[in-house]
Amino acid sequence: MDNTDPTEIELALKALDEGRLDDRRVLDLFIGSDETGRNIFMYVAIPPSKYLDYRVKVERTQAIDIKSCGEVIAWGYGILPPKQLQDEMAKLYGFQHDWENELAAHIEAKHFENERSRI
Amino acid sequence: MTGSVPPPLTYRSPEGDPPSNVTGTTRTGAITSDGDSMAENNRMMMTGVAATAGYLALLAVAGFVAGEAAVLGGIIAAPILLVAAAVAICKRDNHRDGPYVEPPGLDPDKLDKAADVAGVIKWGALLTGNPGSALMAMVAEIGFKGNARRERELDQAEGRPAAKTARQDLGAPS
Repeated sequence: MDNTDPTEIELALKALDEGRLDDRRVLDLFIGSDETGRNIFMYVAIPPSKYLDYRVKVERTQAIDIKSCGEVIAWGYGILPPKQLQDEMAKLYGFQHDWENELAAHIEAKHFENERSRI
Repeated sequence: MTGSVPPPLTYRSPEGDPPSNVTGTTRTGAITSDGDSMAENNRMMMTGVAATAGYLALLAVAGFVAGEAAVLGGIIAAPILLVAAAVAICKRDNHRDGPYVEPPGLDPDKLDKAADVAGVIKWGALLTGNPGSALMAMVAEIGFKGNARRERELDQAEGRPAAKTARQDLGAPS
């Protein structure tokens, strides 16, 4: 196995691990429950070096000490943040609440369009 | 909006300190940086989708395997080998000596795992400013999820036990 020519992704992940991209933050909206089972929402600003670990923990439905993952910039109890707070986050940080879904839907549509054209 | 200065992270919740241990789901809505606003990332991603639409099927597989290889320490080969490797990774295990012979095809549990890995790679690539690689990984994630769903539907339609159940019945690790 020749490992002398790292790929673009390897280099990118290395930079990520080493914290060389931590001048930026990933803004996530976390929705879940606390230890008592109460619904909670949190806007969290996460340094990129911690983001993959955070994302994996969430996907594995592990309990997370959210403060160790990043900075909680707003939070509250409830299933969804109130509209006023959503607007504020959008205005202050450019937070798009449907961005991830929108992007996935767009790519999925393109993917299936391509699949259909090949049949 | 390249060159714009992101707003400082100064907002504080009026509710004080948040509780510690929480579980739930998460969605990304923005990435702040010196040069790239969320709108700029969004624009780049959408442009990338349009540009690579014709190659998505290949990129879906290649993107995943490249990502997996990066995680494992680096096994990068020609695209055809990447495709072959991806198929091999997700192939069903055959237990020909056991009471149940799994059908040929792809293992939905392995496909789910592959989708998880692709999801992580997607975010790694996106965060490091590689929208092209992020696209590959995202398409891979969607492709693997879709295939897992299809395999499960086929299993159900044909009255086969789920692959995972079959392996457990045979005493194999799930």
